[in-house]
Parts: sequence; structure tokens; C-alpha cells
Amino acid sequence: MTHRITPSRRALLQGLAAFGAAAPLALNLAAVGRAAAQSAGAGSGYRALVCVFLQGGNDAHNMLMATDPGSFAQYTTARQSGAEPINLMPAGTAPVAIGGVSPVTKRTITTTDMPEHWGGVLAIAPATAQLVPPANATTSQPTTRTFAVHPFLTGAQGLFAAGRLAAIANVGTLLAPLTKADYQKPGPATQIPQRLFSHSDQQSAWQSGQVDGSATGWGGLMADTFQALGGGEVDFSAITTAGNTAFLNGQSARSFRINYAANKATAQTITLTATTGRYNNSANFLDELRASLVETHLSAGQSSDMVSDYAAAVTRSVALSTVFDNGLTSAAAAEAAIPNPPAFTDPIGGKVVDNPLADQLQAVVETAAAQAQLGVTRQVFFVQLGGFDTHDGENPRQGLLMAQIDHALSYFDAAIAAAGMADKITAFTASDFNRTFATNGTGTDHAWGSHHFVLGAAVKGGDLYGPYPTVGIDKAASGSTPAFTNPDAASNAYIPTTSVETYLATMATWMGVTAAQMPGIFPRLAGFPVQNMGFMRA
Amino acid sequence: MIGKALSGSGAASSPQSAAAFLNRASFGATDASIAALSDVTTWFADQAKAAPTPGGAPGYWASTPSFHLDWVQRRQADFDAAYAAAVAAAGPNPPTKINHQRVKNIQFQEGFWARAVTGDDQLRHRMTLALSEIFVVSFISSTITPRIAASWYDMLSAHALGNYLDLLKAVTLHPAMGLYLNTTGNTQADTDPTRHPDENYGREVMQLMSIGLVKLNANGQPQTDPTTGAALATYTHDDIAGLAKVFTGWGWYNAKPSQATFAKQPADGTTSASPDVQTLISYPANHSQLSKTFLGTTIAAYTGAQPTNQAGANALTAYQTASLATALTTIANHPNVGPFIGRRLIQRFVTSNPSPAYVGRVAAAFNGDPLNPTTRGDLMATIKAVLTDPEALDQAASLASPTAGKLREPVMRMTQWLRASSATSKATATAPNGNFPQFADFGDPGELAQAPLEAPTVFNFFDPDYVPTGSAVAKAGLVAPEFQGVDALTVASYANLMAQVIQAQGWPGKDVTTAYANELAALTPASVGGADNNQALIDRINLLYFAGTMSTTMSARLLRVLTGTASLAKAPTAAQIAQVRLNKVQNALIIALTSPEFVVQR
Repeated sequence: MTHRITPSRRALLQGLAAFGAAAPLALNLAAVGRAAAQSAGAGSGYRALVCVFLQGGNDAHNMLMATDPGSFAQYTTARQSGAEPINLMPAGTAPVAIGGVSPVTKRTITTTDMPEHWGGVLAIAPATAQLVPPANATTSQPTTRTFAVHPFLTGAQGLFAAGRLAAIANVGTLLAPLTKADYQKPGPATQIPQRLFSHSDQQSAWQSGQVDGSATGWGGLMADTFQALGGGEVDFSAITTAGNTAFLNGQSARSFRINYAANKATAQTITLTATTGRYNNSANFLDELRASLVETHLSAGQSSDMVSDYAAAVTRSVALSTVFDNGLTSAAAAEAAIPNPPAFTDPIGGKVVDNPLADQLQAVVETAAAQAQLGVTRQVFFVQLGGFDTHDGENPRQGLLMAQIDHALSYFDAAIAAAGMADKITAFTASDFNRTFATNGTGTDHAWGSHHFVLGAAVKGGDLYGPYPTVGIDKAASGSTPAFTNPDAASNAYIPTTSVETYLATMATWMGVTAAQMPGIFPRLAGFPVQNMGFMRA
Repeated sequence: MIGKALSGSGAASSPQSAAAFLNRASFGATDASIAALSDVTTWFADQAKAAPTPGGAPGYWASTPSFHLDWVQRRQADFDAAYAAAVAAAGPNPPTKINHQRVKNIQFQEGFWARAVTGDDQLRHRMTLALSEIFVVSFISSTITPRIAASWYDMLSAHALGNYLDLLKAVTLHPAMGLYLNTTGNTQADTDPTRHPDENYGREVMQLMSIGLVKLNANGQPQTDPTTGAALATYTHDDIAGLAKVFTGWGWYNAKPSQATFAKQPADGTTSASPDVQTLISYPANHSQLSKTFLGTTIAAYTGAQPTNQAGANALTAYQTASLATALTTIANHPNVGPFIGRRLIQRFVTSNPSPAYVGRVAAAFNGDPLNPTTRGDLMATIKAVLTDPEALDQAASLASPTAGKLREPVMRMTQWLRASSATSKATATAPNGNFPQFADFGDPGELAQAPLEAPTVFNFFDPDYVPTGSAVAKAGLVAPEFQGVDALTVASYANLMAQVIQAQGWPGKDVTTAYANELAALTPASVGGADNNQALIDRINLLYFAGTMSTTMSARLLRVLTGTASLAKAPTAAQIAQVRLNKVQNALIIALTSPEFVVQR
């Protein structure tokens, strides 16, 4: 026996992620037949949105950083501390080999998970200048801020330069615009999101605008509107590789979960039901099994909500899985153009390891490539990478994750181009929250406003959207050192300047959600000064 | 009624009520366990005594509270012996590198399955599984080793029917939790304004393992602000930050502790005395000396000698230890714990949506006698209240209610089949009565989507408040935690898995087999040449898997299938007759165990 957790098995377990809500509803069997009928002519207007969820709360301070001298000094001070300092090296710093001494930190490099070994952060040059905020300024003259990304984001750096990757600064859960003063001393009208810093609640809030237990999410509500387009949308408009999530639940839209093992997007069919004829010395067993799998049974006078719900879930699985698989099979020509992800080498461990995010994105592109066969013109996808809750061991753990993101996004860029769908599919990152600006010694804790990436040929890339906040933590004056006050952060957490609703509504508009439909999906959007950040092409 | 037996009226009234009780309280009713259950009071008393002692051959399954760690160590010894033998056989210049296998997750899980299927300490093991889904640590995204996981399971098991505060203390200082929620290596930041102690455990111990986010009434209903109607929060970030300081300065066991050993996970040991599986110890220099305020309690700042000499270190260790005791006692005495833990246990064992009165009764059992604080947190009393509550025992009311019951968690569906089918595992020289390897070889179509200690995050496989969107459960305003694992993929995977293992009479490689001896015996007519006793097989499935509640729709379907399963031969041989009977068992079990009616336990 091969006593190990296979990647696919692990993925399945990880897919039982701990948030949100979703699942069965009365089945619209009629739609199954319609999916095939709608396949003709659905093609050219296709668009898809892919939520890349970084589960656990990504430390965006180490993903996208301001590198002007004042900002980077604050960053370094806060993070070059504790048993395992987590500050990355300045842009342009050469990697230090094992055994060497870092000219920056003076440390002798003993392991491959020390940031000095990785070299400096990678500079990016946003098209739109942002000025260094006063508290980070080192000169009296206003100067343009400079930015960089994690040293392992070489692919993302290139995509940014090529204009297909945009960065979004300081996005987070908000009910209404919020100032630091109001957050710290709330007035009667101040609206502060519930249960900040709690994983389950902030994952849900990022996906649905509500704390844990939300019945609907942004992606599902978007998918509801696609049904008006009249395709097979009701069945395949919301696709997940990662189990049930709040994000994909609509009023009527429900997520459909697919496999991504073995470099192939597949649905899960019940194999025995495909068997025909006599089975196990029985002429009626297979028919009875097919009926039983979706039957609530129950004796007269009894009913059970859960039995009905489970039967509905099986009914839907049985009805749609074959349709899905057949759809992808009949799109064989389009599928053949999509490459497999290249091998991924862990830059810290040096070994070739799985990158489940790239595998999931491959399944996404394969599914999108069969959109005509599946009868869909709009799709929302949810994929997930776990492990971002880096309370300790942040250097090796987040380092590997950054490399996986870079590898997966670079692959995705190549795959959508190969599929001829570069401007039809847009991927964006989301996560529970940002992490604390300061280290706890070897890692970081839960915080709030965060930075994210949006990728695709439909993205106005090469730019940074939303103001990048002042960097640093409030400090009282001590000796000759003056006090420092960060107007954008409360202790360790950035107060978001862009709401999740604004971030997603920008992409929803690109997906074809109309202004009239917008309040039904993003009820608080109108309360924010910006409803469209402008990072999507028309 | 079993309830009458509890009050001393004697035997359980029927095999059906015994099966209903055992399908919740154990990993599945068996012929033997139904026959043995004459009095529930006696049953609980027996379970309280039972050490974690699986069945099986003496000598391999030692009766010891360190059952799981022993299991993993024995498996490593098996691998070591196999390696040594291979090296010896290969001679001085082996042509290929000889693999020296190390224990993995699966070796821990073998022990779990062995104990679940054959152990005589069913309630303790069942409770351990439930607790492992409330106090969550996981192999996923952590460096928890099979040894540490096994040690953790032994710890949960030891306290499973004991006292909640004792359990909480053991959980807090176990290396598995130290790794999973980062108490190991959490160091004070008293004089470092740019740093703060790690808040992970301080947050999750309150949110998930004791009091939850919202203030509760004694019946588990949320307390609300009378003017706004908003639920009242149990704590703020300040409480978390206060607790985070308490949880500083705990590190790995070492005979000569130093800053180098504080946060460095030791290599795999070989015995139960090895550092990797020892309770975390105090590293006084790493403990916060500041005052700590949380949940209305304040621990004063440390004012004694600094830990630069032994006397100072000892004094600070004493302060640190006392601070931890104060913190955990404060948490354990919070009025939320009874209803919070009570509701979770009811959800694991009986129903997803207990009435407030049911939660209140279980919380009262948890709270014990208010005049005698030592009775608080008795987990045996709590689980007894869960399993013997009128709402749990009244089968007729449960069946009549559209909202009663829960989805069986996948692990329980599998153990129920294995136990009812008298599964045995392949004997080996070192495991003369079998060793129950787990089913890791199944590909995706055969996945259970649940494995002990492999929850995706600290939030477990199932959110206690999960609402399946658009469902009948949602329309009723209720929750269905286990439906978090129900989707288009997993429902098909489950059906494929059960069909596969029932058909194959066990797990691939025949490490575990189900001969169906009792099922075949039920079918076989009394006289040779008589008609098969199809109804007896249906009755057996009804009793063991459905506790006598099988619907008439299902029993009629099974009868049609059994009647329709027959040899085409005009004069079947004995072998053909035997094959048909085996097929009948397989056909009936596949239909029964993949049905929504079975998957939901009512």
C-alpha cells in the first residue's frame, strides 16, 4: 500500500473549508437539457471571473511594499525583530549565499529560508504616481513613492510590467467609509464591521459582506443576474474547486464542485449507475439503486428536511456531472490547446512539489474553454490556496506560498492566452484579512486592510489602484525620537480605504452586471465615494 | 424505552431502542453490543471504567492509556525491522537504495480505525473524536508528526470522560496545540513596542473551544442588546491581547532548556518519554511580566526577581504557572461554557438543532452543583445528559419531526458498516489479529472527505452554524453542520466508496475484510433447498443501520432487489447459490448505505 495522503485526497480534505454556506436547492432538471441547446452562439460574449482565495489571511505587507526610504525604514524597523526577523531586503540587494554575511543585516546566512538569501524585493513601477505621505516623507519636497513585490514574485513583476497585472492597495471589509478617529472612538453613527480579525467571519465578510452564516455571496448573486442571459447559467455559472463557499451562493445560483486532479477538470460521477444490464445476479439492482440514491424514502406521515436536502444534492450531482464531463469531452479541440502547468520547484526547499493553485487554475481554464458546450456565457469561479495563517515560521511558509502564487498566476496568464481567452477571464486575489504590521517574533497575527492582485488581458495592468497607506505604527516620542502617528492605521491594522464591495463591483461591471442590478448584489456600494476603481477595460 | 432503564426499571425495552442509542453513543451498533445493553446506567459505568483498550490479540494491542502513541511506535518498529531485514538480505552492495519507511498520518489513523471498529471503550473513543472536532489540531498545514498526533489523541482520550478544566489545561500545554496554534515559541514583547505576543491561541481558545463569540443564556440562546437587538460579544481584542501574554513563555520540553530549545521542534523520539511528546514547559525569560487583563480578570504584573538566576527563574515560573491556571479557570468558569460545549456535543452525537431546553439541560449537567464547584465541567455527566435526554431518546417524536437529527459524519458511516459487518483485518506476525490499515489507497472516487486529525483548519470540517444555501434546512431557519462537506463531488465520492468497499468486502488489498457471515446466516434457510430468508436480511439491516426505523419504501425496495437477485442457472450449484447470497448482501447494503435515509441519522 502507498501509505500517504495523495495530493488529490489532501485537496479534497482542504476543500471542506471552514466558512460560508452553500449547497442544494430544488433541482432545475429542465435546465440540464437546455444547457446543450444553448451552446450555439454563446461564444463571443463570454466572460469569467476567478476568485483566488488565499485562506488564512495573507501577509500583504510582504507581498506589496512601499520602498521609498521613509516607508521602508518603518517597515524594516517593525519587522527586523524577534527570533526570526521577517523583513525582506531592499530592492536591488543581491542574494547572500549560505555561509555568507548579509551586508544589510550583518547576519550570517545559515538556511535557505532567511530573506537575505532571497535577494531584495522586486521593484515595480505603477503608471500612476502616488506621493509619499507626510508621515513617511524624508524630505520637505513631495516625492513619488516607489513600490516593490516579494522577491519570489518574479512572474508577477513581469506581468505588472507587461500591463496585465494590477495591484490594489488597502482593500478590506467596510460597512461605510471609516476614519481612524471614528474607528478608535466610534460615534453613534459610526459603522464598524462585526467580528474583525476572526477567520471564519472575515472570510465570510470578504465573500458575502456578512459574518459567518451568510446565505448568499457576491459571486453567487452575480451569477443570479447571468441567468437573465438565458443560457445554462443556472447549472454551471458558479464553479468551485474547493468545496462549499459563501462566495458562490446566489438566491438561485449554486456552486458546482469539480475535480482538478491529474491535470484535468472533471465532475464526479457515480460510477455504478453507468453500469448496464445484469449486475450481481440481479436484473433490477441497478435501476433500484439509481432510484434509491435520490429517493427520500421515509414512511407515510414522515418528512425530514435533511433527507430531502441530501437527496437533492445527489440528484443535482447525478444530473450535472455527466453533462459537465460530456461538455468538456466535446470541447476536446479547445482543451488540447491548454498546457499543463510547468513543474514547480520550492525555492526554499529546492524540491519539485505540488502547486495545487496552478492545478486548480488549469481546471478553471479547461472549464471556461468548454463554455459553449456547457451553454454558459458568464461564469464565476472559486479556487483556494491554504496555509496563509502564518502566526509563526512566516519566512519559510509565506515564502513558499508566494512562490506558488507566482507560479500559478504566471501559468494562468499563459493558459488563458493559449486558450484564446486572455481578455475573457480575469483572476483576482482575496483573503481573510491582512496581518499585523509588526512581527510577533517569527510571524504575524490577524489584522485588516490588505493589498491584492488582479490579472488578465482585460485588466488595465501595470498600475496601483487605491492609495497605498502610510507605513508604520504609532509611537510616542522618546528621547530625541519624535512621536510617529500613522493616520491610516490603528495599531497594527490598516483601516481599509477601499471596500471589498468597490473592489468587486469594479469587476462585476466588467462582467456585465448593470447599474440597476448593482444594489441587489452590493447593497453598501452606493455609500462609498468610488463605485468603480477603473482597473478593468470596457 | 431506554429512558426507563436509566431510571432503574431494568432492561432496555427493545433491540431497536438499544441500537438507536448505540448508533449515537458508539461507532455503530453490533449484534453483541445490542445484546449486551440491558441497562444504560450500567453501560455508562462500564464505559467510565474502560481504559482505551481495543479488542484483538493480547500482546499487540496493549491495554494502556498511551494506546495511540504505542501504536505509532510499534508501526515504526515494524518499519525499522523491515528495513533491517532488507539491508541484511541485500548484502554489502545493494543495487538500489533501500527505503526506510517512516510512520505517516496513516499510521496514526490505523490505530483510530482499529479502536473504533473493535475497541471495548466505545464511548471514550467516540467522545475523543467529538472533542478532536472541537479542540482542533490537524496534520494539514502543520508540522504535527504522527507521534505528536497520537500523543494528542491519547491526551484527549484520557480526559474525554473527565473534567473540562483538566482537559483545557492539557490541551493548552500539549505540543500538538503548541504547534497548531503557535503557543510554542510565543515570546513576551514587554519592552519591544514594535512587537506583540502571538494571539492565535488566545483568540481561538475562546472562540472555538470554550465560550464563543456571543454571550449565551443558560439555554444557549444569544443575549442581545435590549435597544439595538444586536448579539452581545463575549470579548474584545483587548481580552485576546491580555490572554496572549498569558500564553507566552511555553516551549518544548528539554532536560536543559535554553533559548535554542524554546521554539525548536525536537526530532521524532522513540519512546513516550521523548521530548517531542512531552507537555510544554515554562521558559520564564520568555514569559510576559506585564499585567494581563481578560474577561474581567486581571493578573497583576510580576514584581519578583528577574530570571537571571535560578531563584528568579523559579519565582517567575511559579508566577507564569499561576497565571495560566488563573486564565484557564477564568475561561472554564465563564457561564457560556456549559451551553457552548453542550450544544456542540449534542450536534456531534444527536441532532443539529436541539431545542433550547435540551441545551439547557445539558448545560446544567455540565455546570454541576453550583454549591459544589468541583462538580463543574464533568464531561461524563455532560455526555450522559446528551445521550439520555428525552429529546434524544424519544424516537417516535424524532421521526415525526422534519427537523430532528443530523447528517452522519462520513467517518461514522464507515465505522458503522465495519462494525455491523464484523470486519476483521489481515493478521501478520506482529499483529496476529490484524492491524486495520486505513483506506489511503482509494483514488478520488473513493474518498470519504474526512479523516481523523485532518481538518482543513482550526474551524474543523463542519461549522456548527453552517446553513446549506437554498435548502429545506435553510427555509426552516436551521443549521446542518455536516452539510458543509456535501457537494456535487463528495456525494458521488461517498456513493462510489461505499459501493466499492461493500462489493469488495473490504478495503483494497484485503487488509480489512467483511465476510458477511451474520448477513449470510440470516439469509440462509433453515432447511437445505428452502427459499432464502430475504426478510431476515432486511430486518437485520433495519435493526443495525436504521435502529428499526427503516421506511416501508426502503424495505419494499430491498425486498424487490433481493427477490430479483437470483442465479440464471436452472439448477444452481451450491457455489452458485452461495454466490447469489453474497450478491444479495452486497446489493442490499449498497442500496441501504448510499440512501439519503441512512446518511441522515434521525
